[in-house]
Amino acid sequence: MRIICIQDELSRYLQIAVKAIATKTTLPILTGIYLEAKDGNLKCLATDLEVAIEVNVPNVQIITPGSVVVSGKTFVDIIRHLPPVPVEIDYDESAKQVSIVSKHSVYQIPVLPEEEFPTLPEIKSGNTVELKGEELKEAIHQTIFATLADDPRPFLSSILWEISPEKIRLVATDVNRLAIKDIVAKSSDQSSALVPVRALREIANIFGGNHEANIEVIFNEKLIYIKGGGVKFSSRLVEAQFPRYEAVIPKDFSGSIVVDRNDLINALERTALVSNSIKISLAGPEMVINAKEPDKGNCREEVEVDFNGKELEIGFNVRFLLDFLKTTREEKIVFKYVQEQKPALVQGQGNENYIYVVMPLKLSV
Amino acid sequence: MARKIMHIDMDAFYAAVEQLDNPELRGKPVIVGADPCGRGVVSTCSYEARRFGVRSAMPIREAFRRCPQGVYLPPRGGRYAQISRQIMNILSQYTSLVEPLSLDEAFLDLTASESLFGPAEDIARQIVAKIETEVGLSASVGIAPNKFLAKLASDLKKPKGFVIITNENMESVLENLPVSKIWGVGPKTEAALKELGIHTIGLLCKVELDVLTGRFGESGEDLYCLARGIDERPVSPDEEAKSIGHELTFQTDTGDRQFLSGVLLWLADQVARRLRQYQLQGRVITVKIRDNNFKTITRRTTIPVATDFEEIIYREGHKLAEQANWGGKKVRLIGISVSGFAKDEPVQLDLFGESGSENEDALGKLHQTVDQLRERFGDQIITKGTIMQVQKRMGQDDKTR
Repeated sequence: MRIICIQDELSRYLQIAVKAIATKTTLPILTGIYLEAKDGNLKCLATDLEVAIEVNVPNVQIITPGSVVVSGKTFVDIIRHLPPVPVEIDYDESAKQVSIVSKHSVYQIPVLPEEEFPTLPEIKSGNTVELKGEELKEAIHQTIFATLADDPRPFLSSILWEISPEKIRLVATDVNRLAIKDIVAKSSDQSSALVPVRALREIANIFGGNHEANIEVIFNEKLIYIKGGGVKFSSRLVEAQFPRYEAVIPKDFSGSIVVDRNDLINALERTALVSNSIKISLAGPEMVINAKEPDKGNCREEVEVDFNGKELEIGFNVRFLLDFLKTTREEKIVFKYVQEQKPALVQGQGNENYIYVVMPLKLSV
Repeated sequence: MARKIMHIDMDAFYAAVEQLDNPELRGKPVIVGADPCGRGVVSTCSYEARRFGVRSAMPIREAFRRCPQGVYLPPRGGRYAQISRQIMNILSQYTSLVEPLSLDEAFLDLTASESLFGPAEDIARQIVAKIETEVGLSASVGIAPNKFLAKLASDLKKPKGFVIITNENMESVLENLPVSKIWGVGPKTEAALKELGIHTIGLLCKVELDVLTGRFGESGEDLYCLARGIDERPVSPDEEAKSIGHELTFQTDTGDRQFLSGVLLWLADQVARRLRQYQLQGRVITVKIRDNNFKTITRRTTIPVATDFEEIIYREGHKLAEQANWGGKKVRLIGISVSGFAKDEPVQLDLFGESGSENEDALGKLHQTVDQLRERFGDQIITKGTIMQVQKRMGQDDKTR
């Protein structure tokens, strides 16, 4: 294999693929990146067996087609640090090494046994969804904060995708709160899947900047597979039971407020300087927020609200409220409640596509 | 230098609180305890009731027979705990070395407070006066060089007692007291001592140490020291608040896992009830198993949400015992305790049921109801089938503490 590519184009694609390289593994081949030059493209492939990423670098001048596996991190780092001039990559099969030649630089790196590189699972058929990468990125951003990445319970380190013909619903929970986001998308079938948080972060990074064309997402029983912008991404799904989340969404409320989002964020951020445990008192057009911490003092904030319904005193972890308020975009926020130890429902005014259910803090007497 | 230990004991606490809250009851015989028609016992009775021969722990029917004109009330644990906090607050104004023994009893080490507030005797009088004016209840006090003597002193002249025991008058005070006044001398030890012809503490003082250890083992040494008014135990604050536990020593060592599980459930039930009584919830659950060779193992676990539910305490305790293979031998003693109290911490509630769910609410209400029933009608009014079987097998002479 012998090719000439443009350094910045190659580096940009390799940065994407390198995310799938295994960092902690007992299988050395998984630290490698597979390169294949064919039909004017350079295919680069990496996988840690959980996640796999394949990129196709266009505009590559192929002198001799062929394929090779090199140590991923070394190769990607060298390419990244070279100057933005054409770079030649030459595989010497007899010497079992790859030369990287730039204007003033020559690097030779060893190869890994190509026959050991795993074949990638390819989804031939499954439930296919088309949607905008940008929208998917926002939906991930608006739900991922409500997950618990390091928890042993697998449903907490993943996000539920519920796919129906006209929309996709993303549901995330860390058992204290629940974030639900609906996005408009066309799909061929109805299905649901648990996508791990790690994969979602990569998906948001890889496909989130894609403004124009739709991306294609395919699910089968074991995998999520996404294609768009010269990148193919796949990840194993989490096999677990997601809790019956509909049951905990409150439906009958005893009262509600409408509040300016920025006013509320400002008041809560100041309150958080004293304590993350806050008490909210609702009795009239002024919402009162109190916090106290033995070593730090106490505070009281007032925020103007449209108040409707029963009076309430309720505790919250202020971070849980801020997480939502900062990812929603509406100017006005609607907060609906049942009673002090029941879940409350928060959403942007007029936005039924993004709702947040949060459990209160039981305050000490 | 001799220590100045104070023991304070509220006079007829539950009954006094009832009389405080309801002035109409003052001067009347008030009996707090089980339903007078039921099978329970008297918790506390006012001094007016004592004149009729009513005593704590007496079967309530017997009390009713002796004093039918009495006012019979069910206990209100929450209210007593509230008043108790008020009293403990006053105590802690004079020293940080306060060791509460129960809702109405505490030790204070006033040794160091003397340089701040004057002689221990004056401090004690101030405390009693303050409780009288601020809370409206009377107390009995004992002051002595150690805990044993202080507790003994507060008990000598109830109500409104104020007894000081010093190294000088100690011998004359102890001499003619029955041995049952010694801490740890229950009916069995008392009977055994009587068999040896020892009725009073004075007589006990004449017995050699090896005679006592020969007859009573390790606790013989305690008897020897206490009879001489020697007690080095420090006043340890928070001891009560650090953990709540129950343990049980079996008459005969047992390897019967099913029975042991039942005992564990029984103990967990008692621990949970006491936690609720003190309005505490804990996250650390500890199981203690002593085998027939006196080898003791303890295993503990921390749960994510603080609890006062016997269901959870038992579940975790049983898991620990299983993991430890129940000590691997025949079991002599088993105990379970809860610590790591989350007293003033706000609790984050859970959407899917570990806390705050419908299920938990229901369970909480169930516990509340059961607690109320037991307070009113006695412990036997409602219990779990397994616990009944265990109690039956143990006989009624269990040695829980």
